[in-house]
Amino acid sequence: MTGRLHRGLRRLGLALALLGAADAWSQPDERAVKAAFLYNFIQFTQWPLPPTERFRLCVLGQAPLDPALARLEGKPVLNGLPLRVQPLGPRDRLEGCQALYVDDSQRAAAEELLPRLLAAPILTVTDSDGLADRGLMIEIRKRDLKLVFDVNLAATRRSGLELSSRLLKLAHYVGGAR
Amino acid sequence: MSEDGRPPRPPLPAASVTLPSPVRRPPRARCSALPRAGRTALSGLGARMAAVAAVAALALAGPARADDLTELPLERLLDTEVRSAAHFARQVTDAASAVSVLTARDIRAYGLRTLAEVLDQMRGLHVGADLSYMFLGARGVGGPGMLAGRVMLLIDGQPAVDNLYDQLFIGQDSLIDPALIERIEYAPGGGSAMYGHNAFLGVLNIVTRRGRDLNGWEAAAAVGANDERKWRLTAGARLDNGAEWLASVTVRRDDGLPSSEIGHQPWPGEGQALQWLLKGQWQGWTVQALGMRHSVSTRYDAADRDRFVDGSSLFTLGHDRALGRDWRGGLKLQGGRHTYHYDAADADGPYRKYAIDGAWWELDGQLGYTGWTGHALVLGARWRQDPLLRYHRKPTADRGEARWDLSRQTFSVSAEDRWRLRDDLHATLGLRLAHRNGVHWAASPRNALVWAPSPGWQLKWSQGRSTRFASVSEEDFGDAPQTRGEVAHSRDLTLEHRRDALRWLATAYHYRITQPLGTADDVQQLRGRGLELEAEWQAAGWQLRGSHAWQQARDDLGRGLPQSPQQLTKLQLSAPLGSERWRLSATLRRVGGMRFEDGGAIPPNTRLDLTLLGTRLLHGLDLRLGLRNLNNSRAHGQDDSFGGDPAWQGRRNRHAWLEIGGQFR
Repeated sequence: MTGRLHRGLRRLGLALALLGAADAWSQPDERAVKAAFLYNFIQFTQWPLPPTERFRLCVLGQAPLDPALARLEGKPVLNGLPLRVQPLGPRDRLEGCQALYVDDSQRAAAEELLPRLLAAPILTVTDSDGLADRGLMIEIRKRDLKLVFDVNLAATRRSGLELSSRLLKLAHYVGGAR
Repeated sequence: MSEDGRPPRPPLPAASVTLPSPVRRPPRARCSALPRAGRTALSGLGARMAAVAAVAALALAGPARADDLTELPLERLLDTEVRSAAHFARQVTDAASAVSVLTARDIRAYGLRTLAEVLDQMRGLHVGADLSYMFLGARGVGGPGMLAGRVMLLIDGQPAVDNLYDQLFIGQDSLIDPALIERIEYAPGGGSAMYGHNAFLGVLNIVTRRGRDLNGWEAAAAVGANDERKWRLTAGARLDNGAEWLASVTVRRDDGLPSSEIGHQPWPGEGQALQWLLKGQWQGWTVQALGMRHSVSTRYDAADRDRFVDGSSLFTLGHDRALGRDWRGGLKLQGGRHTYHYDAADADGPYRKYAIDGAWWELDGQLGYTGWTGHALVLGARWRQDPLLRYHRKPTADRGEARWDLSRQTFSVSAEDRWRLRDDLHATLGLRLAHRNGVHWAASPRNALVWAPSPGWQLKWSQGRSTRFASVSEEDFGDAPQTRGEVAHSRDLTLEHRRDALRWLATAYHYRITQPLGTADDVQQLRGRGLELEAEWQAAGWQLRGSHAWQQARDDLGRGLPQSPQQLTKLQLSAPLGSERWRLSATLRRVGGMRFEDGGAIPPNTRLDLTLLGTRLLHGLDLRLGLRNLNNSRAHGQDDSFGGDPAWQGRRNRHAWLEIGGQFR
């Protein structure tokens, strides 16, 4: 049996070697695409009181997306305002945040934060399953090989934010429209 | 009643009933899952298939790449295929133990097609089989013949264990098709005080897919060894008003064995399985119904044949809503119906006919309060009725009719407080009190501490007592009533670390089961201890996960338990072939040596499985090819079912299956 196992492992090794060679043609990383989504969402949103000096994107806790989000630092948004990425604790003050990203790994902390986010003029984006149902505004999820996003329109309206019709048209699902 | 006035033990729906005596078995040549020609072809298939897949992947891959993705318009980003990022599944089960999680992605990539195959990939779980059923072992307890499970199975929060034998159906008779599972979690130990009395050595929590996960329909067809033919049709959607629905039906035919893992059915036979699921939710309301029917007919010779049918159906109607700022309440009405029917006949006509039926329903209410700073309090109450527990032996030529009817009522209350002592220190204090008619009150306390000394690190300690009441089968349908349940006293210590692409954990446990049910009369206590290690690494779409469990379970006379391996090793590797369109996954499982009930030895067994997954290929169809037991190791776990006939022992069972399916909108 040991001989058969070794033969099986050799075949597996060959397959993995082939697959490693093929990996050079890989697709873009999911995290980088999520960060690019987030950058686009900001561009398609209007705030009731737009920031004047800098745009602050807050990130709850430590997230696997941090390196990809860090690459957004300094990029121009809205009318050329520089984007600043700022970490946020679950009990930190939310004032000063124009957008908030809640990673799935921070779900427990998000539960604590949710009541304070109701009606706050902050664009809230997450990749945690079901958080758009719980009051966050945009939820990114993977569907087959691509990323899609759902919008909780009731949450954006409650906060006084306006999402562009182009963004809504591209959403996979828009909830709370009625 | 029989002549002495005592009812006989009910027929077990296990091999002891369905197997005839060895003399009836027709002499046959040594069996293998594939004929020799097939084996030769298969032996080079793994490497050739990988080469073909890699070339195909190179041809198909060609994603849009940009140095700065923020420069791409949203339309282009939505049309970009992405390489999966490292993502360690988040635990949702309420338990301060080392929870093991598999997601729909894992189930699909590793080609897991029965619940038993899913569970067999999870740390510390061991799956065994006889020729009729599959059995789950946890922490060294459980195996062929032990129908009464000591692990609670919840499907979307609903208990899914039958109320006759407390049996978990995990083979071809599973209540749920794994293709419908969004995530499955295994929390070893007593879990939380909020779970029912059967959360004894562990809790399995299955969350099924939702309508939003389909928004259309999905179809799949498969062929494989053991005369397998399988079809599945699933549809679901999320509507504009937020309501969601999902409906699915799976039909399967095979040779009647509970799993292809153990080789061919030794006699001509046919198995038919039907699984169905309906679910909907809208504004806090949920409704769900699911069920299965599994029948197996076997012909031992021209006149000698038997047939057994298992059926289970479950329903839930629930509502959950906020009751003001700090209160939240939920109420569920749940129920189920289970049947086991058995008929056997020979040249003289029917000689055994049984019908065993059960039904239950319960009201389950929970009230949560978060108004007390640092505390999350949950109170629960559950009232359960088992109005139908019937054993019916139908009249045959040589035996008269006999019938036993029972009913049961169970009431339980529970309370649990999750208390934040400091930002880095949480405590959970829980207590459950349960009462069943004819059984003493049982108290099941469970307490835990979770300390996060620095980011990424967690140390968990839990201890408690769990109670399991006897199944109606263990009480011989009223002839051997049990006034106490068996009690497990357990302690768990777990250290977990997560950082970037790496996650690992180590857990040590000890338990003691007093007044054990279903063991020899001279056994007063079972003791178990163990150490489990698990590590997972993910990067660039690759996933590598490995676990090892060392476990020891003994009775108070110093004897090891039958079918209880001391070593369990599992390794899983999954990688994209150039792009996520093609994925090759391998699993390696090694089960240490065990012994049968009669003392016979079961040698260690190592299995290597490969699965090739192609996503959205021609016309949007997906393809999955499973090569199982590639090293063609022998399956010894059923040897005692064949008596002393060496021709049927240690059968090799390399086999393969192919599935084609797709999503349509």
